[in-house]
This record gives sequence, structure tokens and C-alpha cells, in this order.
Amino acid sequence: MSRFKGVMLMQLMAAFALFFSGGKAQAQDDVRGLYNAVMLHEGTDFYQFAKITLRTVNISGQLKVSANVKVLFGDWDSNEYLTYEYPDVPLNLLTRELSIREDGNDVSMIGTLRSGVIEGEWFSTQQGRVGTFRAQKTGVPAAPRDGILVKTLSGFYRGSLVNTNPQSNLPERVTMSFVTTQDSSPDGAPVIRISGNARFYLGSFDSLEYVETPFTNIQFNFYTRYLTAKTQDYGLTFKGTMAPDGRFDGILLSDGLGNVATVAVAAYP
Amino acid sequence: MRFLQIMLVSVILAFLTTGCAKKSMSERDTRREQLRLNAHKKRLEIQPLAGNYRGVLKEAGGSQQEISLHLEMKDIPETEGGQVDPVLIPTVSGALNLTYGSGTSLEQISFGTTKADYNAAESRLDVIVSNSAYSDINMTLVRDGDKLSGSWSSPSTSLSGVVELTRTEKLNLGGDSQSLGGTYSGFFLWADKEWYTAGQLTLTTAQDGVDNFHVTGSLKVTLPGSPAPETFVYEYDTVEFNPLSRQVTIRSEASDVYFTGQHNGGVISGQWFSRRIGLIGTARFGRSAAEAPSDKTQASSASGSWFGTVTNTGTSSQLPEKVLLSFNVVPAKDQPGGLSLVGSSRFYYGPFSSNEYLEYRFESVDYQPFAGKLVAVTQGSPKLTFSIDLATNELSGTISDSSLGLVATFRAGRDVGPDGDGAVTLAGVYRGVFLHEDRGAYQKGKIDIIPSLADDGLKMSAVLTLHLGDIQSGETLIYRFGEPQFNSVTGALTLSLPEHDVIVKGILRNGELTGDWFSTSAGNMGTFSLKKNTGVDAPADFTMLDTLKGTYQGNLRNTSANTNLPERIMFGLITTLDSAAPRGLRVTGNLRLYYGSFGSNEFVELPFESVQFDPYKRIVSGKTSGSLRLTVHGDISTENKITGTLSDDALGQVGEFEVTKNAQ
Repeated sequence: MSRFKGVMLMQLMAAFALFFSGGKAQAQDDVRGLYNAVMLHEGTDFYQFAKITLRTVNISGQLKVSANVKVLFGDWDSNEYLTYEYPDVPLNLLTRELSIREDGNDVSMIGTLRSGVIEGEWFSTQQGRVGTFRAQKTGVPAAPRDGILVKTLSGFYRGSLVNTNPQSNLPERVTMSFVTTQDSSPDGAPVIRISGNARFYLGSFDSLEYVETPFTNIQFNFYTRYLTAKTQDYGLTFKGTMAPDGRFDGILLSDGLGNVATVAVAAYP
Repeated sequence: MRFLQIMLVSVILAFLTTGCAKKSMSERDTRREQLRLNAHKKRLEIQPLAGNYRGVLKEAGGSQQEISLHLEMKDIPETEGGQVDPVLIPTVSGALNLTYGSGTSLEQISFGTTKADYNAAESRLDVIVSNSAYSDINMTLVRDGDKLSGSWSSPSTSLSGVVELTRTEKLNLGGDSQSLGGTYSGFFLWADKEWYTAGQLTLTTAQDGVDNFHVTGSLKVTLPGSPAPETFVYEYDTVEFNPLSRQVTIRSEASDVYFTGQHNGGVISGQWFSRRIGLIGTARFGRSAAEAPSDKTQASSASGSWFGTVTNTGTSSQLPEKVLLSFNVVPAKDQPGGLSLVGSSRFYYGPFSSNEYLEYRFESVDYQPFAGKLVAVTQGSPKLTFSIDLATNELSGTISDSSLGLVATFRAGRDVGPDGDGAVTLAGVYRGVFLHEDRGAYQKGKIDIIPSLADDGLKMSAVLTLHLGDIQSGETLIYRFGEPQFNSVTGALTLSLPEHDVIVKGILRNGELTGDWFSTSAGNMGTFSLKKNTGVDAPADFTMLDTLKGTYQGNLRNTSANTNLPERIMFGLITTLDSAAPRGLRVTGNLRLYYGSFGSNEFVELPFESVQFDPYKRIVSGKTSGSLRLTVHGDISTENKITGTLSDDALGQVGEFEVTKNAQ
């Protein structure tokens, strides 16, 4: 009798799985949905995550597709991301090719949808073709084995400063900290707000002998990785490139003296 | 006393000759004298014989002929002694007259004496009389007072008999016998049938000198008919009459009927013939009307209307079971005095009172009323030959077709009879099934037959209706045939028009229409079976073909490396009745390709700009409109499954699909 029960139980479980798998399969085949994407920077080892949301509506038998693409900087749960809206995504019936682009958006993507997977190429207005991407509804695409995830800007960076102007004698130890937050532009579009501080250490990095000044204006191009940050006090401006691995190399400018130093910091720890 | 007179004369003559004997006579004179004496003697013998006699000429067979005989003495100069002062020799001459009638209607045939010799000792007169037409009659008569009697013979006719004559005061030509001329009424009888019919013989005589009289005549044969009797009148320029044999022969090259018989005592009887069939039978005519023979039946004519029943012989014949034959009498063109018939035949599908009939006029009617036969041939097509036997108030016979031979027998009478019983009209709706034999499927269908009567006969139109699904489905294929081909003999009905893709060939028989049907695209479809009123059920192992309309959904497999079409395909088909559409059925619809699941809104819908449906090859194809030109082409199974291909105008075949009809 127990054996009978065991068989019945297995049959019930199989039916249960079949029921849900069928539904899951159908959802898998829908165009709409959230696709988790891995976006490769071709020619480098860098990659980013992205979330592509496709929305569909049927108007008089014509399927209208729109999309929202969230390009992440950092991990899947990073709050540092750029969001782009695409109100009209043409879907080719024959090839199921999607064209995710919109004037005014820095990022565009051309891919082919097949069995719940979109594969294709992505582009930026500054760089042109960036590389390939793969987006899928279920699970996440595998990241390149030796790939380097593009880090967030947020974090603490410390490094060295070398005075290059005979009239400046800034401390040789400097830290920068950045915090990114999501905000909305006046037109409602989501934007990343970056704030942070700079510290000039007269003593050692762990001492209290430092002068700290907040940044009043931080500009960071997530794609060129070019960063400018102006301090509130002392009229200093950091300019340089924040590499995807968190290393910043740049110069320090003074409102009065001009180029006063070079700066090299790295994410810490 | 006479002897004494002769003796006295002889003595006187002898005295005178001897008294004057002093004078001698020549031999010639002596002879002349002798002749003279002999002539005188003869004269005295003949003189009592001269006169007029009347009597009869009896023939050994029983007939007798009224005659009159005139005898006279005639002196003929003898030629022996030369031409000078010839001695007149008395001879007997005269004429024998065969007479008929009297007065102004006298008919006589005169035989003049060619030789006569009277033997006074035996009172015997041997005389030969002659007529240019009837040759000689030899008579040997014996005188007994005022009577002459004896025998006669006619070498030319091999007839003989006796003669009896009695002296009369005057040679009264004509006596009690009736003239030959006149009207004789009587009956014609058939030898091989128990028929009789009335007839009339009219003889007209015209005296041709004294030797003869010329006889003409006419023969009238009457057959009772409808609406009027059929009277055949034959004219004869010469009627041969032999007064000795009393044979009457009425014949003319121009007349079909002729008669040979005898005239006796005012009755003419004999046999009548037709040139075509020979001896018909006997006929008897007399001066007075006679009663019809009670043991015979009146012969019947063919004119009028005959209502008959047809019995088809053989499986290839399907003539309607009712036939109406109509004949009208017209003068025969090639037979003076004769009659011929014109007419027509009508085959009725319904009662005789209906207008559902096929009429075929006869192009020729060979009417042989005396043989009791009639052969009528219809004109045009079909060419039917009616071989008819006439009976009293009944026709029967056979019907043959020029192609099929004997196709039916029939029997007809004057009365309509119980009309309508069992008669199955042509008009109506024939319902049943059309089989798709190679698929084990069927369609319900019907054929409406609409007959109408035009000036040139029965016309027919037909409408074929084929259903998809049940009769109430509303999905029907309609074909109209203005004038189907119909063979009234075989019952073969063919519905075929160049603009239609269906051909139906069947046999119409007693309210049933069965046969084969064809599609111009698929060829032989199978058989069909229809029946009026009751319809026909489909075979148990056959599946009814469903309607086309509905939605079909299933899977699509991309077959082109250049395409990535959604794997779920659906198309909806809608059918509407449209007389402008092929077969009266218009098909429209849309194609849907689903990205998402069926039922979701993630699909692309493309309307078909045209859908073609071949219900016989069971193929459907449609092309979408708009910028994306996709063509669906598939085969529909009896299980409502469509398998086929999807093609793009630019790429060719891009996919294969299999869809199944959704339950309605």
C-alpha cells in the first residue's frame, strides 16, 4: 500500500510540475517581460549588467513593443544605474529582430529575440559600438569567466597627490569619496546624483589630521569614465579618468593657480 | 304443205323449161339456176328463224347474263358465177347483246355474228359471234317454235354454258337486270384478323359504241377514328369486267388497294388487296345496305390520342412511364386516295395533366391501316422508332432508339385511365449525399430540378447545392446549370458547364438520381445518391466533411535560416454566401502569429487579402495584405487538421505548420 502511495505521490508531483512548467513555458515565450542582460565591452574584459524590460500592447492586431533599459554599474543590486526609455521598439515579424533605440538616449541595442533570449549588439552615442549583449528572461546570463564587472563610482578612494606647481604645497595624501543616488531630472527622467567629499591628509591616512571639503559639482561620464569634481572650499577641481576597476588618474586644478598637482587614487579597500 | 308447194313449183318450172325446150341452157345458167333455187329454198328455211329473242346466258358456274339476240336474213351475192348478175345467197346474221340495266342506264356489250349456219332439217343454228374485246362466243342453238336453246362456249375464257332464248316482238335491249354502274355498299373483312370495316364501291359505265362499255370506279374504305373517320378513297380509271366470267377487277397502278371479284345478281364479292401487304381479306358489296358481320370487330384507325404506359426493357432505358401518342390524318402525298398520319409523342414524368413532358414530333409515319401496323419515327434527338400494332381501340408495340436498339414496350388506349398513380414528376428537390470516396467522407447535397415548358418543348434547369457541415451550417457551394443535358431514353442527366468546377453525371429513375461526380481539379470524386422527398443517408463508415469556417491553431516551424517567425500560428476563416464569389462562397480571414501564448495579446495579425478554397482537393491558401506578404497553403484533412507551408514573397518558404480547428 505504501508503495502505491509513493507512486501516486510521484504522479501528483509530476502533474504539478507539468502544470506549472507549461505556464512558465508560456511566459517564457512572451515577448514582454524582464530580461537580465550581460553587456560586454568588446576589446576589454569589462562587462556590465543591464535589465531590459519589454512591454507589449496589441493595437488592431499590430504588436507594439516599448522598452525600458536599466544599465547597471556594479552588481545586480547596485543603485548606480542609468535608465533609458524607448517608447517604440520595432519588432521584425520575420526575424524577430528588436531595435531598441531612441533619439536622445545614449544607449541603443539591436538584438534578435529567440526563445526568451535576446542577443545582439549595443551601442553608445559617444563610443559607437560597444560590444555584444545577451539578455534572458529566466536566470541571468553567465558573465565572462575572466571578465571585470564595471564598478560603481560610489566608494572610497585614496591615493597620492604630487604637487606640480611650485606655488602649491598641498598634502601628498588625498582621499575621495563618492555616493551616487537616483534622482529625477526636471523633466522627470531618472538621473544619477553624485555627491562626495575630498580629504587632504596632512598626517597619515588613519589620523585626524586632514582637511575635508565636500564636492559641490561632480560630473561623471559613465561611459568615458571621465570625472570632474569641484570642491566647495579652496576652489579645487579634480579632473581625470576613473577606470572601471576603480582607479582614478587625473590632475588637480586650483581656481587661482591652475594645474597644481597630479592625483592617483584607487578604490579602498 | 310446204313440200307440196315445192313440188308444184318444180313441176311448173320443168314444164316451162321443157315447153320452151326447144331452146337449150348453158352450163353456167344451169348452175345459176340451181343456185337460185337453192337460195330460194334456203331463204324459205331461214325466214322463220329471223327475229328478236331475249333470254339468259348461263355459265356452268352458276352465273347468268341477260342477253338479247337479233337474227336476220341477209342476202349475200355469190361470187362463184362471176360478178355479173350474181345469185343472192341468203345467210343468217345478227348480233348477240349482253345487256345490263335499261333505258338511259343501259349497258350493252354486243357480239356481232361472224359465222352462222342454219340447218333447217335439224332446226339447228350454229353461230359464232365476236367482240373485239371478248373474242368469240360459239353457240349451238336448236329452234323449237319461238324458243332457241342450246349451248355456248368462249374459247378465250374457257367458259361455257347454256343459252335460253325466247322470241320477242321487239328487240328490247335491257331488261330486268340491273346495270353494272352504281353504288355498292358493303364491308371489307380481314383474313388474318377478326376485323371488318365499311366500304363502298362505285362503278361508272360509259357506253363505247355498241361493242362495249367502259367502266371506271372508286373504292372507299372507312375506318372509324377520332375525331373523324379515316376514309381512304381510291380511284380507278379502268375497271375490268368480263361479261362472260363476270369477273370484276378493280386495279390501278396509282392506288394501293385493289379488288378482284365477281358480279352476280347485283352483288360484287371478291378479295381485296394492298400492294404493300398483298391479300388483306374478302369484300362484299351490294346494292342495298347490309348488316355488319356480328362475328367480327370493327377495325380501328390510328388517328386521335392514345394514352399509354411504357415498360422499359433493359437497364439502360429510363423512359418515363407515361406516353401520349397523337396522330392526325392528312392526305397521302404518294398515294392518291390514301391517307397518312402526322403526329407526335409525349413522355410524361408526371400525370398527363402536368406540363412535365418531353415532346417528340414524328418526322415520318408509315401508316399501314390495312395491315394494322404503324411505324413512326421521331425527329431530332433522340431518334425513337415506334413500331405499333393496331387493334380495336388499342395500340401496342415497341420503342427503339437509334443507338440503343429496343428500349421499351408500350400499350395505349383511348382513355386516360387512372392518372397520377405512381407518376413521379421530374421537378423537385433530390436530396442525398456526395461521397469523397478516397477520403471516406461525404457532403450532404441536393439537386433542384426545375422544368419549364417552352415553345420547343420541355426545358430544364438545375441547381446543385453542396453543403459543408450540416445543412444548417450555412456553408454551401452553389452551382447553377441553365440547360443540363438530359437523355429522355436512358434518363442520363449531365450537369456540366465550363465555368463550373463540378461535373455531375447520373441516371434519373423514378425519383432517384444516382451517378458519379467529378471535380475539374481533383478528378473523379466518387458516387452520389439522391432521392426525392425522403433523401438518402450516408454510409455508416463515412465521415461528414465539416465546415471550413472557424479558427485553426497550432505550431509553426521555421524552415528558413533567414527567418525567426513565432512558433505559434493561428488563422481564422470566415465563410459568407456571395453570388459573385467562386461557387457562391466567399472566404475571408486573418493570420495570427503569436509570440506569446494563444490567448495572449502578443501576436501579430495579418488579414488575408484573398483566400482560395478548393473543397474537392481540400486545399486552402491565403495571402496576407500589407507590406508583409505571407502566403499560407495547406491541406485540410477530414479531422479538420490543416498541414501546410508558410511562404514569404521574398524568401520563399519560411515555415511549415500544422493547425487544428478549435471546437466551436
